[in-house]
Amino acid sequence: MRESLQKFGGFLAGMVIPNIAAIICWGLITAFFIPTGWVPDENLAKLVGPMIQYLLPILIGFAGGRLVYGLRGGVIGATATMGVIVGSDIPMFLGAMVMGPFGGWVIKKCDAMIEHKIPTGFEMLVNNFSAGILGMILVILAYNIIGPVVAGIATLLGSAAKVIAEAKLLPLLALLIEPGKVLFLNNAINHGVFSPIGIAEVKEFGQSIFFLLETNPGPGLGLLLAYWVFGKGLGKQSAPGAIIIHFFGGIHEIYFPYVLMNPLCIIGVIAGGMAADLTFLLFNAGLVATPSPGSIFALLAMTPKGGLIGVLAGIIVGTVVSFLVSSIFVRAYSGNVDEQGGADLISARQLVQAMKPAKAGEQVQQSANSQTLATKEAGLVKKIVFACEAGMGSSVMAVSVLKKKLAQAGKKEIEVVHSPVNQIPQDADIVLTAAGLVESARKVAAPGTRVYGVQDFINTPVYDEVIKQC
Amino acid sequence: MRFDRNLVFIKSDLRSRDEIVEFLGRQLVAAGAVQPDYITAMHKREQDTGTYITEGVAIPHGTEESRSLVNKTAIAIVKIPGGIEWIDGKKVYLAFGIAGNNDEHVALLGGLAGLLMDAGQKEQLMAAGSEEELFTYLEENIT
Repeated sequence: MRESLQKFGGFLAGMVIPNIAAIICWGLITAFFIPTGWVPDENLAKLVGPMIQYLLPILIGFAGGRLVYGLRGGVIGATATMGVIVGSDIPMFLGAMVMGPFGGWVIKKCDAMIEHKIPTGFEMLVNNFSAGILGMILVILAYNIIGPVVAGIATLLGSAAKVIAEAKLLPLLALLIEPGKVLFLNNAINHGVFSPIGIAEVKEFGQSIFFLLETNPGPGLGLLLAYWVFGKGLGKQSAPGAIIIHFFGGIHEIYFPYVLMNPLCIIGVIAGGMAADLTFLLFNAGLVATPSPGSIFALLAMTPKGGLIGVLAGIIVGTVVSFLVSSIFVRAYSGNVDEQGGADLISARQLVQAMKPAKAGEQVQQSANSQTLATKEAGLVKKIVFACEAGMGSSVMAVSVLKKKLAQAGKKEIEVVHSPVNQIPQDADIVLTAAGLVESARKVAAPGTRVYGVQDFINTPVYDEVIKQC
Repeated sequence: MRFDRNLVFIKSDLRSRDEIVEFLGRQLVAAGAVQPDYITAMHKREQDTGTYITEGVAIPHGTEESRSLVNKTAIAIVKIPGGIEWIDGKKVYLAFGIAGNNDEHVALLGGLAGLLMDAGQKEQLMAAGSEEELFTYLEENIT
């Protein structure tokens, strides 16, 4: 269970992390050029909408499809994503995370079904049309389903928020706001639900707490700090940049993917949001208008005279609570990855060491030494990937050898494929690669995947070890 | 595709890995299978990860980027009777220079892999004394 949850988290991260650069690019453009940005520019601000509406979801859909089924899966994943994009009015990151991998999976199954049944010479034609037709069906399906679903969720969140607000249970609103934000409903919630209430309150009291609830950058900041301090790999490295965009630029969208790639972190931002809202209430804090975008500067600018302490206190409390709670989940997740990866790396290194002697006699003897490895976690293996650089020679032969050996062992159902090392599919259970590529393969493969290096691609005891694990 | 008799050689005057890669590359160019820059890519590939695949055998080929330089699938074969050191003290007696940019050569390589897996067959292949014998053995045992 824990392992599959980890794998799932790793898979989500695999869709988001490669695209963080594009998200930052969009965040910068937004922070600079929107009407309330640092250097407003009506012309350049035209980039903002299409980029978040189309570019980012398509990139995520592509990455998702590619994880499942290489470039071909990526193309269909991106195509299918288009259905949810056009079918809804909000940026469909979540929809892309569903449609991308789903598209990749569908074309993969379809290819497996028609494999070996295509007349020679027609492969290209059949491949393109099968994928094209499937893509069309997926787009139409997504298009028709997504609109009502999103509209339903938005209405539900909106009416729930109104009920809670009217019942004066403000901190509980965080339970709706934070998940809603992560689903990219932030603007719908803020401008659609809270702004009207806030404006009414300002007329009466001169300020309103409703302008603070969604726009408070504290909870998001706490989460990103948790990634920065306790995260691992690209999540950790990209966090500082995201913090700048989020906290100073006010583009909260940048932290949503960090929640999506480790969904338990939603608990952290909710806790941060609740604590912050409670603090705002205690200090009787409020703003005079909605800060847009929700950057620290915009919030301070909208703070009425004498209200500074309350606003700052809420932001700080939100940040600290979110950081503390999120840390638990960020740590648990990356801690496991580290442990697992470390163990695999060591066993892979031992195996590489064992492969060094070239003489056949010595190899057999060494193979006995790595027995311990074979007994280690024998899980259900469905897919073995041979990773290489070009996929022109050695990996093709290795795949062929491994397939023959698996067939001899009566394990024909296990899938063996080759893939470039930077595109190792995330559903691989075992990854084999040239001894020199083990480190790179480790970085690309999903956390927990067993990675082994070989030097001899035809006769190596590693294959027998792998077959024993199947 | 099938093996090409004109691309099977036995050479004793090749003294290093680089000379063998160069030789195989030129044969592939001469056969119209690849563009001349493919040879550079073959050398690069050797420097990157090397193409030694199993005891006594290597399969020099280009890099991912050089796929576009391949005109048609072809395999050039050279046997070096005395063997040469390929990498880390490992000797190579038989080198297959590969040009492939689609799946056409996959079946052929699969066949070759099957042959090399079988100790007896591999021994017979390595023992081939003439170019004719080498070609015939490959033709008959790999389809």
